[in-house]
Amino acid sequence: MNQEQIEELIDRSRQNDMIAFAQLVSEFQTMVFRLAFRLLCNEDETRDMVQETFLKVWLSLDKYDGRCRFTTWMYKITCNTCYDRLRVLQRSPSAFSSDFVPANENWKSEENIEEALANKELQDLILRFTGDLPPKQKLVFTLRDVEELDVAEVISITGMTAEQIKHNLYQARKQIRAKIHQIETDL
Amino acid sequence: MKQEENERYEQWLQQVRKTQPILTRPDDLTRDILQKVARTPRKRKERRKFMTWASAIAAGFLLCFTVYEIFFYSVSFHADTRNAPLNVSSLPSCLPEWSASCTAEMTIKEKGARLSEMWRARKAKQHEQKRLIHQLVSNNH
Repeated sequence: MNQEQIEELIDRSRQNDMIAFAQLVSEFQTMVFRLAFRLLCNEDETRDMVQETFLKVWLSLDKYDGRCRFTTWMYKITCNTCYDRLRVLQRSPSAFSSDFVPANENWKSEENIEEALANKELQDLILRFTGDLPPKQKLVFTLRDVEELDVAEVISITGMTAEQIKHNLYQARKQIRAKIHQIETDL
Repeated sequence: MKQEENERYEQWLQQVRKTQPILTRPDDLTRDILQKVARTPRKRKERRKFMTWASAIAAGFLLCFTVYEIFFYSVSFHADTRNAPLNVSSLPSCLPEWSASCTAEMTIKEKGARLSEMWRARKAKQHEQKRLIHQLVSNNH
C-alpha cells in the first residue's frame, strides 16, 4: 500500500468510516504485533497491546499531520503503549504470565499450536539475554539493533536525544554480553 | 574468549532479527480491534473538548468579573455615596468593630488597603503595650 492510499484511508477513517479503518488495521496489525511481541515477549500481552495501540490510533487520527511517515507514527504509539506496559510489568512481574497456556478453543488446531510454539521459542530466545533489561534500554535496543531503524527515526519515535539513545544502547549491549558471558561460564 | 562472546552475540542477534513472531488468527484480532473501536466513539472526545471550552469560557468570565470588581467598579460609582459608613447595627455581632469602618461601596482593593492599615495600627499598639509592660517590670526589679 503506497502513501497516497494510506492517506486516503486515514481521511476516510477520520470521517468515522469503519471499513477504511478496518483496512488500515489489517494492513498494519502485523507490523504492530511484531514490534510489540519483540518488546513484551508474550503473545497474550502482545494481542492486548495491539488492540490498545489501534484504539489510540483511532482516537488520535486527527492529530496525525503527515509530517512523518504513518509507519513511524504507528511505531511511536506502539512503543509508548508497550513501554508503559513494560514499566508496569517491571514493578509487578506477577502480572506477567510467561507460561504457555492455550487461551481458548481455537488454539486446539494443529496449525495454531505450531505457531504458538514457534512464538514461545522466539520468546525464550529474546528473554534469554534481554529479560533483565530496564524498559528504556530494551526499547532502544529493539528499535536500533533488532528492528534496525536509524537514529533519526528512533529519536522521532522515543523522543530521546541522540546521546540518551547512544547511552541506553551501550548499556543494553553491555548487559546482554555480560549475560552471554555468564551463561557461557556456567556451562 | 572475547571474540567468542562477540560471535555468540552476533549469532543470537541475527537469529532474533530473522525470526519473526507469527500472528495467529489475524482476523480474530482485527475483529476484536474493530469491536473495541466501535465501543469507543470519537464523540466522547468531542464532548470532552466541549467541556474544556465551556470551562475555559466560564473561567474567563470569572476573571473578567474579578478584574472589573478590583479596577473599574470604583470609577463608575457615584462619589457622594462612596464614603458613607455602614450601618453598624445592621452588621452581624460576630464581626469585629473595625468592619464598620469599611463602607458598603468600597472596592476590594480599597477594603484590602484599609484593613491592612488597621492591622498595622493594631500591631503597633500591641507592640507599644508590650514595651510599656516590659519597662514596668524592669523598673519594679
